[in-house]
Amino acid sequence: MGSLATTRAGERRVLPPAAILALALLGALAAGGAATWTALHQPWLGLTLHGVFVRDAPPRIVEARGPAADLPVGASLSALGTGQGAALALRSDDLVPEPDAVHASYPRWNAFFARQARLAALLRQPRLQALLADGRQYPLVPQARRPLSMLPALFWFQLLCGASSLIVGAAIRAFRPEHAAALHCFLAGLFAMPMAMAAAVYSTRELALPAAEFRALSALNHLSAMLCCVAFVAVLWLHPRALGGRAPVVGAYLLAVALWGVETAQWSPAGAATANLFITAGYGLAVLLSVLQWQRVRGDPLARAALQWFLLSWLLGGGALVFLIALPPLAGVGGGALQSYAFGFLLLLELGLALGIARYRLFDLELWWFRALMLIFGSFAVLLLDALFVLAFRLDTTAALVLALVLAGWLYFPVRQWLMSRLFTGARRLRLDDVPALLQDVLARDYQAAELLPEALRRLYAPLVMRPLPQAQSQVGIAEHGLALRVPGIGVYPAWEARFPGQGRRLFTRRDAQVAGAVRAVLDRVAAYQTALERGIEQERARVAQDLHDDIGARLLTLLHRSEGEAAQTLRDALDSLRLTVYGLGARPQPLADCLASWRAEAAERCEACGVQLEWHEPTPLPALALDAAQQLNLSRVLREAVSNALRHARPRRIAVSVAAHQEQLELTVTDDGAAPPPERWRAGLGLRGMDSRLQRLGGHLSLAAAEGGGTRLTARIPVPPV
Amino acid sequence: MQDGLVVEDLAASAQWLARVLGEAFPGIRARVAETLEDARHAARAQVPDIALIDLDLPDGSGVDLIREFARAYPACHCVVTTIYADDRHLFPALRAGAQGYLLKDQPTERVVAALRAIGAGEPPLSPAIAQRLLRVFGAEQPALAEDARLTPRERETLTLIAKGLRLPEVAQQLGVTRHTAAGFIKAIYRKLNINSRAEAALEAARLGLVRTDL
Repeated sequence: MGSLATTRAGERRVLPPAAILALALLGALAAGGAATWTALHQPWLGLTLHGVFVRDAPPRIVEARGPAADLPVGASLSALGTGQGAALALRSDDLVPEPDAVHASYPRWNAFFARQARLAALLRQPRLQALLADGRQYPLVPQARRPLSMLPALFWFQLLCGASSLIVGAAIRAFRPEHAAALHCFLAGLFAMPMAMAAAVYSTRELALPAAEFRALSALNHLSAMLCCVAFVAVLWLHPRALGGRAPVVGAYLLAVALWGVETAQWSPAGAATANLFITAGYGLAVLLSVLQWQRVRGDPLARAALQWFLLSWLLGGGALVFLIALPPLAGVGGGALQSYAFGFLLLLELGLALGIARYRLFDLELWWFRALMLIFGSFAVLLLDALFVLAFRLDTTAALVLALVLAGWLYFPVRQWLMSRLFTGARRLRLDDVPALLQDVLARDYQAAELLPEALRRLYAPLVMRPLPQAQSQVGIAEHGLALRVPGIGVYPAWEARFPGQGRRLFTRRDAQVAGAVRAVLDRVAAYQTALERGIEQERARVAQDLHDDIGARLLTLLHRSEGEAAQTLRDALDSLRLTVYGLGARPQPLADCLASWRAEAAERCEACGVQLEWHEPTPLPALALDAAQQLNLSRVLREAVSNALRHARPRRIAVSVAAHQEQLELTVTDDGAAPPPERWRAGLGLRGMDSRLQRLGGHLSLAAAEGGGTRLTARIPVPPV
Repeated sequence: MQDGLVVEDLAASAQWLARVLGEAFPGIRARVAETLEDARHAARAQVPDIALIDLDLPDGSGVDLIREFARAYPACHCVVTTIYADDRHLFPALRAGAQGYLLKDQPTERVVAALRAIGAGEPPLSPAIAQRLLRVFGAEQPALAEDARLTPRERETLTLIAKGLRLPEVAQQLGVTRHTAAGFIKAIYRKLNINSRAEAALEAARLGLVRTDL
């Protein structure tokens, strides 16, 4: 398979897969532990605050627990103070989960961190005063450490996404080390982890983190995100076909690090949005590369299938990620909590990549992955529509939700079916409704039993290659990742293998195998029935023959041995007809060669008995024609009669019989050099009329002419279609 | 030929065959048997020089009789008489050891000529039978002894006859005398019989009916 880009020959697998996975798990646990430790080692007020849409408006209290248990829920917390000196006014954008979403320019970025520093310092005071918007004041004693149970679900979700991405990447690297793209898939997972974990820590902060920590985490997040993006694009650069060397990939990584350095040193003109710009550009590049890859794998169904899934996950998952994380800041819009959930798409993306590279029973996992993706997007659609109805159309929340559900439900299934029909072309092409008509057609065409199975397989799957298998198969099976389908033979005939279905455009699925099994069972029955029928016909024919022979044959023979002359000849003809009729019952047409051989032998014997020389001309090679019982009977009679005429009336020295076949016509010519009167003077006696009528019965005709140098030429022509 | 036996149950045909024998071999004593048993009796009393055996007899098939005679009385020319010239009916008889065949519905002169030819060592061979023989000898059995396989000349003879050539033409094509060509045909018949006997023996040995260590 050309699509497997192999690494240098010197690279060996250093560790067994289990060890790699274990290491990855340990790494994930360690990082998760570190993130959790960092998140827990922050002072805790017991407040859950939500920002409102207006940035400098104070945040709202949504929950109050622990030290802040007395604070009223729903009130606005306008400031925090120590009791001495001025209190620090709180703003909603202090709470922003992702700072670069809101503060793209460096001045604002630095201002944000300056505020964070002040807030964090404030939180480390032993006593605090909370100032509400309506003027009330409450004392607050911050707890030294945040309780584990107070870490929100979003924290664990992001941690989980990061850890899973690492493990999936490690798994691909462990099981497919020969794949160049697997390395970058692993790197993508590797970088996804710190990205998600850093974000987990600061996006779920209660209010503020120390500036240095926060900056560090943010920088880590940016670096990891950019490297992760490069890694994903690198996968597309190398898989399924290497579009270029490894140098551009290395260069891209270095570029990412350089740009990150520029951004962190605050030299970048794009400010803190550099990373997001980079990621968006990376996504655009990925789209371009995917188009290129798609074109490259036109002729390879396996690589195409792998790419299809990879692309679906990349374009949708990556697109969603970019849409939720990178674009809003560029548009100057805050994404809110949805941004954090976007890491779920990261996991989906990683999984899609893995499926594309793993190629293990691709055609089954694809279906489940696709359904999962569709389900997520379906729910997403509900949320979006709900938000739309609430915000744009100002419907109340219940009505909005109901309407959103209804609309999404109506749209979800048709969209899913449409996507399925486009992507799962294999399943669509093979509808079970088509199979009975197909079978009927195959059976109606009267194929030989040995041809029934391959013909049916050909019509069902349009494979490029079909071949019989030397070893027997016990059941229908798919081989080589869906490239080949092996079907046991019917009756005594061999098993068959079909390869490259749909003219090489798709792969075999489990459904195909099921249908093949069912069709094979039907054909097996049919073949058995045909065999039984033929045997029955044969037995019946033998019985009839026996009866005829015993009864009529015996009587005719007795009569024959008591008569002479004309009567004897008539009886002989009757016996001849009897023979041919008996064998005409269900017999297959005889090859022309065999018929000619017996006619020649008979004519030669008769000529020899009369002392006349026989010349026999037949074409070599003899055309592959076959004569049925009626043709054999009538032609042999005509020939016999013609030779008899010549021997009786013309007294020739020589009789020549020549056989010719052209344009679906068989022609027998009997020429003698005797002294018969010219044909125009012949009365159409019994013999000639009989011959003519026999030939006409076969769709042919008789013609008489004078031969050169005296004598007669008689030509019999009948149509014989080729076998 | 001094003694001939006609095994035939149809009276008219039996008489006709006896007459034919008389015409072919003047002075021959022609006996008629209507059943297999009668034929066996007659043969025990006096071994015939030539036996015309019908395939369809009241108490069994003529093929068995041919097999017995071929083994017990090798000097006797066993000739099958039948109205079916196709290989399906004749073949078993030929395999059993018949040295020729006659078609009962042929004109008397032809049958007489055929009998004379058999007596002179020129057994008949129709194209249909030759085609079948080619198929039989085509599947070579290396297990058979040298004398059961066809020589190249014999195979060529068979091929020519299968195309419809008669003895004089065959001899001409092969560049041998008519007598030599006839000898080929006789050899072919003999080998067919050996062939089938060898197969039978192999089969019997395989089935454990015959002890091969004797």
